[in-house]
Amino acid sequence: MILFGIIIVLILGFSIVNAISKKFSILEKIGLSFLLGIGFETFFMFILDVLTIKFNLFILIAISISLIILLNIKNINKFGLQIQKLKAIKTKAKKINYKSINFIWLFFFLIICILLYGSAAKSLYWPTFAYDNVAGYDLMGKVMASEGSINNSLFEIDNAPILGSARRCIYPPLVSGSFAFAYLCNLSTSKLISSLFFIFFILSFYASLRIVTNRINSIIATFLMIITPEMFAFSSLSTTNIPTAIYGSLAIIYLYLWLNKREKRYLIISSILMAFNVWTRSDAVVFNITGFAVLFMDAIIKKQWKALFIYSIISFPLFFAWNLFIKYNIIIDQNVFIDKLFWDADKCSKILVWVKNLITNTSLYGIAFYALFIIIIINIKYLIKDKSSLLLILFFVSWILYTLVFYQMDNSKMDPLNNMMRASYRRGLFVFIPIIWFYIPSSKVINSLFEKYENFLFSGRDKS
Amino acid sequence: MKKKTTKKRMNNEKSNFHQSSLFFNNILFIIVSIIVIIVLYKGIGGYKWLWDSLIVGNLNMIKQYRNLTIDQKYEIKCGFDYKYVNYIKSKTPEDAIILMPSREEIYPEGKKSDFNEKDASGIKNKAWATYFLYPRKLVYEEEKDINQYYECVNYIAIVNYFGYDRLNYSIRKKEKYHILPVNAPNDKQ
Repeated sequence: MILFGIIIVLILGFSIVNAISKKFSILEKIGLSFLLGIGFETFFMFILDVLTIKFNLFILIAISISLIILLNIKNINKFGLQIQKLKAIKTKAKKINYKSINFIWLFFFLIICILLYGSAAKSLYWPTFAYDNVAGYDLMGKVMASEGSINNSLFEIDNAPILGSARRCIYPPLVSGSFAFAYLCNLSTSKLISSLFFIFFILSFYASLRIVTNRINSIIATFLMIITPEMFAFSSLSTTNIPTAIYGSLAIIYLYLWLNKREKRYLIISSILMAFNVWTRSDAVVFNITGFAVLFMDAIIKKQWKALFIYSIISFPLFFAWNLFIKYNIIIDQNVFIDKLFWDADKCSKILVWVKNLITNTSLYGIAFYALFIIIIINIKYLIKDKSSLLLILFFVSWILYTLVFYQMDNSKMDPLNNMMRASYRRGLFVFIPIIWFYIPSSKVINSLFEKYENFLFSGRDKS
Repeated sequence: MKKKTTKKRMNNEKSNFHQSSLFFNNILFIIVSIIVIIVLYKGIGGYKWLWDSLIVGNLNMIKQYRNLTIDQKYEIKCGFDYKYVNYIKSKTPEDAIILMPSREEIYPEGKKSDFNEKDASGIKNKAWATYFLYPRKLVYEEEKDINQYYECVNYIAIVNYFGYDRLNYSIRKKEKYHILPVNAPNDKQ
């Protein structure tokens, strides 16, 4: 049953990407298919819950298949034509010259496969055991699947979240909903979903890098991103941090691609990923706000507001929808922030010390932050003119906003500041890791270097 | 004709030479990459941990203990707390309403408890215990005034010999850990 469920999710996601634009590469389509497909499944669960209809696998699959048919209605008519095209590709297939194979690419590809295998093996071997998941997201997923409802028996006592779950059960439903999908497919644990998130993210990340740079550069950057120790360790756990990092970072990357290339498909994908970003955690809204701020500035400069409008109507509604849903259904103090501006030098300096200690800790993030600052210095000459600097703007604005969230947080309602920085902030930094490893290979100097190297290596040859 | 053949042969040789040099460059870059990877592995603790522990260590462990059941895996990760909830699960029907032990009963003063004391997980946490016992309803003393199921409790979770006094019948042989119905079952205890 799970295989059927996952195939439907993949076809749904693939159809959505294809409907946005056929110009996306096949790798982008495959990578994004799971991320968008599973996001939409959780969105269907939410809509059904609002309509007080209990969801089950049959209903979800029926909705998905209907949507797949709708999205592919034009393609179905052209099915014969597609088959002919495929046949043409087959006859055109070139003979592989084994001496001109890109062994460097192959080498890193093999290491990445070993790493992904290691992560997936660990993830699938151990059942869900981490406290946050057992007393939060996975519990919610399990009960959602069993009762076919988001507002379920975990909130039955005075409409408050079950004792001991803190705020974990009121996190937006993308993560718990995706776990619910696994349980609806009769799996005994939901860990498969965590592995699928990570694998399809790696595909998407590599595919997005290929838009701006060559194969060798892309695969090495992908490899360096995967081996970020703390992030890799979390890739086999069922927390919300990795999905947030996936949707948040890809949304920022695609927004950068839109700013750079002005192709509408990138804007739409970015907006959808932003929408799903806040569908994983509400505090991730800082990335949506960053996107809004940058697009707002762009709209003022270019005097064109359409992009900002498209972005806003796609990326924000889920944030408001979920918060309203919680407000009207669950009794919990939603405001965990100090709702006035204030200056606390002590808190500010504590946060900055934490930030410095965390980003310089190579046991957590490897060489990511060091590499970023070195590459910025190397590229300093091109910072103003080079388009990759736009990504730096998105990176630093969202980082500052994200840090400000922790400054503005009311620690009397939440854990003490040190605990928040040690756990939440530390894991929240995952979002920035893929952005760093996207910026480095796409920066002027590194990109030119690798272009020269690959040209030298394959001048006049086919790149296999 | 002869000239053409010579030119063709020269082109072939040139192409072979280029392909050999491409192959050589490829291998050279791989060697450089391996050196860089080794430097990263040796020089940065995080990368060493990732490879030694998260990849090699875990794969070895999985290979060594490939036949563990899901219950055994939970016991390794969650300790005695899991063993106890699994025991409750096996002894109660799915519609059971269970009165769980209080914190004082789980951790009796001056005595070492078998339950997890290190963090917030374990049977003391309602959400944690519900994860394993769902769809059974759990009731904790601390929510006695707000939980509508408190009055309908039909099972008592007994830990450290606490809880026998909540039963509507007496038990001759008391065990340290137990789960018993509030009212005497028809069969003999």
